[in-house]
Amino acid sequence: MKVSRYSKGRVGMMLTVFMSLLLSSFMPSFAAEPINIGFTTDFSGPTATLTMVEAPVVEMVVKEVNAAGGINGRPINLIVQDNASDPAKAVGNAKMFKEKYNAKAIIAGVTSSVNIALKAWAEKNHVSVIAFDPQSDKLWDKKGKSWFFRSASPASQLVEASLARLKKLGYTKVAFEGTTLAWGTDTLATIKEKAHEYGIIVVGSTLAEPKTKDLSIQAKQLKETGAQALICSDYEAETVVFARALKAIGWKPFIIHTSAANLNASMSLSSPDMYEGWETVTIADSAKPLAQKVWSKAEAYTGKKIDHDEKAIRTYDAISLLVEALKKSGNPNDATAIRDAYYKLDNYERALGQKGGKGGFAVGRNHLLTAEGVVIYALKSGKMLAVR
Amino acid sequence: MDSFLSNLVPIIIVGLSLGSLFGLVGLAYTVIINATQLVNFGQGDFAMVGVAVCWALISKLGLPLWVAFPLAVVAGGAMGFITNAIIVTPLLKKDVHPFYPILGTMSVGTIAAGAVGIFTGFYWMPIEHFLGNEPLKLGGIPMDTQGLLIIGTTVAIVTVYWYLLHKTRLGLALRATGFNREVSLLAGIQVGKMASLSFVISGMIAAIAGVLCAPFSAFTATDGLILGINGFIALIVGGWGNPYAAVLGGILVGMIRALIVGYVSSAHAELATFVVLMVVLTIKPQGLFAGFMMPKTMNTR
Repeated sequence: MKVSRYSKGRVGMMLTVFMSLLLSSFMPSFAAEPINIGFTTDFSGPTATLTMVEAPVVEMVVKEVNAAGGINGRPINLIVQDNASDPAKAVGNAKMFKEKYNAKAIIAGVTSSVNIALKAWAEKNHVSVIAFDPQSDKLWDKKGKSWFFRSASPASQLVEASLARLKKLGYTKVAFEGTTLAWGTDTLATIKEKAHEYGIIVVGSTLAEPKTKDLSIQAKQLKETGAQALICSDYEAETVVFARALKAIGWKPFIIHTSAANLNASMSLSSPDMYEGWETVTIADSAKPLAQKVWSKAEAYTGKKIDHDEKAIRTYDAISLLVEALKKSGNPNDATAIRDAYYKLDNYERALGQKGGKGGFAVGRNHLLTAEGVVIYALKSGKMLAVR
Repeated sequence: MDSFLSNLVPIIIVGLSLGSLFGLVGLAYTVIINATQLVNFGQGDFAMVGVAVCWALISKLGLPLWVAFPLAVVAGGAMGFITNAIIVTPLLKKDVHPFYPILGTMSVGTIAAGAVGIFTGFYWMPIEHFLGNEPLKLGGIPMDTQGLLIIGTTVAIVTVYWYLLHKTRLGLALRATGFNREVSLLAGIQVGKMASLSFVISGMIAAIAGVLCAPFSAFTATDGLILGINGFIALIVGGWGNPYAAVLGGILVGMIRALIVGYVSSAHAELATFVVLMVVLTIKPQGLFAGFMMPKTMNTR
């Protein structure tokens, strides 16, 4: 039941105005010219719930930086725009950031579809974009320098970690359930490409539209494929629908979800017992001191309890990396200098990942996290417990 | 063939429950159309308000579902009453083009979505399955209890609405108002009150649909629009202005979606819905069930 994102954006526009007013109130008075940074994500649309955790983290870091004197005395001025999960709207936002506000860098949130469009725009218009949510492998540059960066790890790394886990547990017949959006289709393509390397056969798959109300027919079809285990790459509401469908048809296969953040949110929307025994892969390590620090800071800033998953810390990494790139650029008015500065951040400590703190960007890749950084969590009695 | 048949029963149940949901919203549209000749484009948001009230009463005040649900239905009715009182009736009195009050209903819906969104942070408003997550097994086939509840509720609402329209003086007045506003006035019918009543009934039905739908996949403040669009498609496919046709239209759309999911691909269900709409608009624009159980004094202009 997907509908035009333009229509959904009507409420988002109201929120955008509200957010802009809110953010402007955080701006301390500076004599120096502010550095305009564009911030586009979906305050409305099917994945807007992620933004409710992520946007305050961006605000928090910007406020901290400005309170500490900004970038060489210049405050960061965030220009906030809702894209309602609509790639066309996101590109329109980016264009406005550049042409109206003379922004030299942009930070963006969900989804992969939106960021694939933003990446194409960034490469053509030479304004760097750093994103904190998208996982699609289409965002992974295999060669050359890119104008697009991200803090989230690519789907293929999480897929490979999932396949490795399934192999270790002895599963050979696997089926897939995922969203019809780019994240789901890309993940399925990667599973099909990589499964044989792990001795696994993909016996079936189904894609669910956002806001789907019932997946029992699809669950039954997957069951009939003889699959021993499932890989799930779907958003929180649809994951709930799928879990309910599995229960409705009385099937309890081993399931590994490729997004801990979405699975975590699913548990908050429904009975956690529906997910008993599920596992998930994530690049957020709850034992990492920096991750704990970010969650604590975000909770103190918002006054609300936030999910201790990757949402807040990958956002923290993205905005922090942007701030560091602005500092290292030597000239925040030079878009190319900012882009090149990303590639000089080799010693910057990131909150994401299990090991190490080096999180710079190598030429030809827009992230450096590797599969060693992936943590597997198992759900037991409604809690995510790390499998180490 | 075995696979085809073994899949058919669950597909029919899913199609019926989803279609009943669309049909209920289509019915809610029709109630207002029959009394005022207007389309309430805030209809989906009426449903969303019902969900928001039910969710808030359960999660914020700790009320049980059996208390929260009726109160949410009352809130849906109140939303209808207010929409009519502050926008529709004042504009109709000014004898403006019908497009103005229609736009007004859309504005009320958008404001409601924005207000609920600010209150909820546009986050989900989860409501648990009414009868628990355990499926009901009928003839060895597991069935989702919420889906069965939706089907049963739809049958009950259509029956009650039929009784109201055909067996009560109030129903006669409602039908007369829809048939000819001026003649009804001359006959002493308080057409203003009938319009108001239609908005209240419509809001209540929409709220019931919304709350019944919420356990399937949690609602957010902007999700009323999606339900509203599907209800409107049910109305067009079934037959404009015919409450029973709207329900049948919804069931047809739901069944086709379920069949496409079951035998083709779930990624094509949305496409199928709009293909059906286009086919109906092309071959029978008045709707597939336009004359079904149609009372003589019910306006379908």
